[in-house]
Amino acid sequence: MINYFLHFKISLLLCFMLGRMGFAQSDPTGQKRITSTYLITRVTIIPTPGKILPNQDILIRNGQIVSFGSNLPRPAEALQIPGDSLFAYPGFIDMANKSGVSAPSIPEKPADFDPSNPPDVQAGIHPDVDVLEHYDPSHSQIADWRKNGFTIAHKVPLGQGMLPGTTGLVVYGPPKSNIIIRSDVARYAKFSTVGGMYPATVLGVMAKYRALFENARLLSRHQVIFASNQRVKIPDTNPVLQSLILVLEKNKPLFFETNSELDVRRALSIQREQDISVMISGIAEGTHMIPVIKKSGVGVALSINLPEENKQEFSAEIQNSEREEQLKKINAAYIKRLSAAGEYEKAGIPFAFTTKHLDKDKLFDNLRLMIKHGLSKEAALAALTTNPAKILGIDNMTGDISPGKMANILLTTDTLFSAEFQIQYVIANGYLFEYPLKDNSEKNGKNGSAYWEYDTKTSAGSASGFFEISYQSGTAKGSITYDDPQGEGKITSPMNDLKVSTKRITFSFVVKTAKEDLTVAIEGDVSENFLVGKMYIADYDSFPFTAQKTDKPKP
Amino acid sequence: MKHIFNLLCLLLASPFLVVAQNAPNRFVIKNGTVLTITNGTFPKTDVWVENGKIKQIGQDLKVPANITVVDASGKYVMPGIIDAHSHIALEAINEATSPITSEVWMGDVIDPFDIGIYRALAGGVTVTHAMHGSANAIGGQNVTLKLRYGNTDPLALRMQEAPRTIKFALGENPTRVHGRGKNIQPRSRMGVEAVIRNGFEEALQYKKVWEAYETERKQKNSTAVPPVYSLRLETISDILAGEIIIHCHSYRADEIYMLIKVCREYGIDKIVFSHVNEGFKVAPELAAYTMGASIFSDWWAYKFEVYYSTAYNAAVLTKNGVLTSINSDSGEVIRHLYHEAAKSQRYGGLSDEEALALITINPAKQLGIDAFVGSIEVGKQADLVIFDSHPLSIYAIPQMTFVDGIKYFDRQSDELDQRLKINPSELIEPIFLKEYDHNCMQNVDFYFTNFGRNLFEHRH
Repeated sequence: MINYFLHFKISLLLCFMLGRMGFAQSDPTGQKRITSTYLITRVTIIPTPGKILPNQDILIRNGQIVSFGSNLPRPAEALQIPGDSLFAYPGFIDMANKSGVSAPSIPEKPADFDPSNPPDVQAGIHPDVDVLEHYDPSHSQIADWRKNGFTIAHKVPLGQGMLPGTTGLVVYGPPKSNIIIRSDVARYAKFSTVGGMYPATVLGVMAKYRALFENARLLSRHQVIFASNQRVKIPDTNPVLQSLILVLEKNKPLFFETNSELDVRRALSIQREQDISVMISGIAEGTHMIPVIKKSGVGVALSINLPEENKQEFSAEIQNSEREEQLKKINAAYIKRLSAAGEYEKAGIPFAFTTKHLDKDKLFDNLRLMIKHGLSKEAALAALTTNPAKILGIDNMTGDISPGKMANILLTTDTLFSAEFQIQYVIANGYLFEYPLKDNSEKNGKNGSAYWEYDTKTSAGSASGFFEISYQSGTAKGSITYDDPQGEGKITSPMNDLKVSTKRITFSFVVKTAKEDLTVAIEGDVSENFLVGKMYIADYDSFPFTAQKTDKPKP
Repeated sequence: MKHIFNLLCLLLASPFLVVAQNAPNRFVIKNGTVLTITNGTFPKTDVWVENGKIKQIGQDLKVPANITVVDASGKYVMPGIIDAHSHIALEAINEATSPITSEVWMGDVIDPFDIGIYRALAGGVTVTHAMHGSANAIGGQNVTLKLRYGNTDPLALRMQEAPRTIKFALGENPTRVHGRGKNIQPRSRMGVEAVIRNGFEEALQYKKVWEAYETERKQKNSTAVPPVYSLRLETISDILAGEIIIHCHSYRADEIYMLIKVCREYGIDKIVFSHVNEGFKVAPELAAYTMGASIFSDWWAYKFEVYYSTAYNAAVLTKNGVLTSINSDSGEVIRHLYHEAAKSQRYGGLSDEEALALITINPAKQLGIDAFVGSIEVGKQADLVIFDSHPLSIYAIPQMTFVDGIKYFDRQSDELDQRLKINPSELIEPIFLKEYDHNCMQNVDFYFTNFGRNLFEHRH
């Protein structure tokens, strides 16, 4: 049996030692699979938001969670993942995402094209297009989202018009594995248009929705008559209306993309008028709409994308109380946006999240901002796991950690959303993806050491040596080695007042000379693997001091 | 009863009311000069408002002891101003892609956050007719709004009692957008008439097909299959059935007379002409066959078809018995429609009541809402404005504006910033070219505007 823990330690070590030089041994691609059975041991499980089970083993086999409990028997074929000090969360579910999706090809405009009455397909009305036929699971952005903890996404089609296609559910496993959970989940619906032809504005879009649904109703009626009595004309073949008949029958919902609260109102109007089921995605504003949304009972996804904080200032000469008032208002509006998710939680609406328009690097920063402004961590987790599973109707399959569910699990170094937590492993559909931990673990991450080779020049000549900074449970300790001033050989002294950040290292140490004990202080700025700074020797002078990260020196 | 419920919703739902509306829905405006419009002017008179309606009008009314009193001594009380042609509070204005778009409805694009609503309230306006633009021969269906600023639900601004109305447009706008812009009908005034006639004819055929289907469907063991549904033709059928009032953008006498003839031919009498710069030439016809004209006081020469114009238009039309109103078609002019009305006294010498009727009871009639608003009468909705001096005086400034007995504007508590929605990121919110804002030709592709066309030297 491979001692995975040892392997992990080594890779972690290498990681520290090599920094970002690219020699990490982890497997972020999930390609080098040697078994489909995994045993995560002694991990703290958060099976559903709000529940904590410490010291558990999780057994995964063939893409499913087989069982969890303490001291599970270890099957021989299982790759063991030591989960000591790690946390296991259900994998995230993205309520609406377009990464990896390309737009369907639209036929050339006919020669007699009339912009006042274009064919549906030209006007962006092709709800029958299957998004998954235009989805590339090997797109680099998919790996990025997975690295951020997403294991399942509701893929929405690309297209400029109001009904660009169906949506589909995929798991972020390796591109060549089985990734489709469910195709044709809903019809994606928007209020935007292709432009330059009918419908061009939301006015035309609303009218078009009404006309399409009414004609779908009539076509359905015709089909029923035709099916029961052959003596009537053959109903039209119309893939657009056919696709909407399923919506009218409540077999498929409309999945609305919205960009404003007025869009949300329009989506709800269509739901009411047509008596269909809808889901609404992209909600970012309008907390006063909460009672309306709650009453409607529709599944909603809030946008994780947040507005930028205002950084502009009025110039000094126009600064007065009115301007200050204005700045206050902008800030209040900004805070209101950050608080929206918390307000939805308070109202008891089980909302999900969408990454639409979100810069992937802002995912956790934005979630933390929402948490800072009233959203509980449990609700944030629920919006990424159990809620979307329920809204999308896959909660019997995934969304939490329990036996029989799809093996979609994150292993994190600390509790989710805490300041320094990192995702170390993502298991998607039972495939393991490992990610090297980032440098900030040097500060208060796990155990390990970093080695530096330094050079300095004093009036007495140049000197060089090593120093080591090691981490024990988040605390840094260090020692520095230098030539013995009193003779041959090397001396190692412990560091005092050690302060380490990703940008700066400062410490001091004491050198015993014949005359006195000299205190030497080092301070330097760190960038990548280099440190540039100064060395201060007691009351004498300061000297240049540079260092470079290196392998562990041979004793 | 429903109305009272609406008011309650309003009181409970609006954050704005908490801030700016202090007057309860039960109050008396005391000792003002009351300009009823329909029943004369009464000095030192009280107007008692309860549950959003005018309960009593008279001198020294015996009101309950605990009632809120708004002192209007030395001030003038008039009905809320009604703008029969407006584009404020709308997210989109033109669906300019087809010469007929009778299927679209402005109620889908009401923007309750538009600061223009507050500005209009500050100009004493309580009702606007939120119209589709003038790009199409038959445009979209309009929506009549009560300026209940502070509501975030767009449909809370809709005046439920108002009948359906629709925009038509003649002349240069539809011919430029469709004919010159896209090389489709209409390219000339003749084409505009043809488009409208074709629309009417198609609707008649459509109705016949549907009636035949419905009849057949009722037969025993019917195998009737439904025809195609068209919201567009359905709406035109409703126009022909007299269920929708046409408000037609028009300037020249010949095109106005043309549409009068077409409407008579199809039995349509619910039509109001808008702008009507040459209306003075066809005043008797307008008086005989239409619901009148809604005009500008003195706005012209901004394009070829509006050169032949006069500031006496309102007076000429009024004296000829044409139901006449003055509208704004602008987020700016809407703030001083009382000045616009006063111009009819300088040019044409209309009486105070005639001049004020141009912006109150007359537009109310043209919108089919005169049973509810447009004058100060017992039982009517309490849409009221208090002016510091006579509203036709150049010095008049609106002090308070009430809609349904709720105060939405008070000059005393007017804040520097009355926006309902603040951009959370930007210190300076984007301001768009005025020409495309709240204007008849908004949303018309830039390419099809004169400016865009000239810029790209686009010719067909």
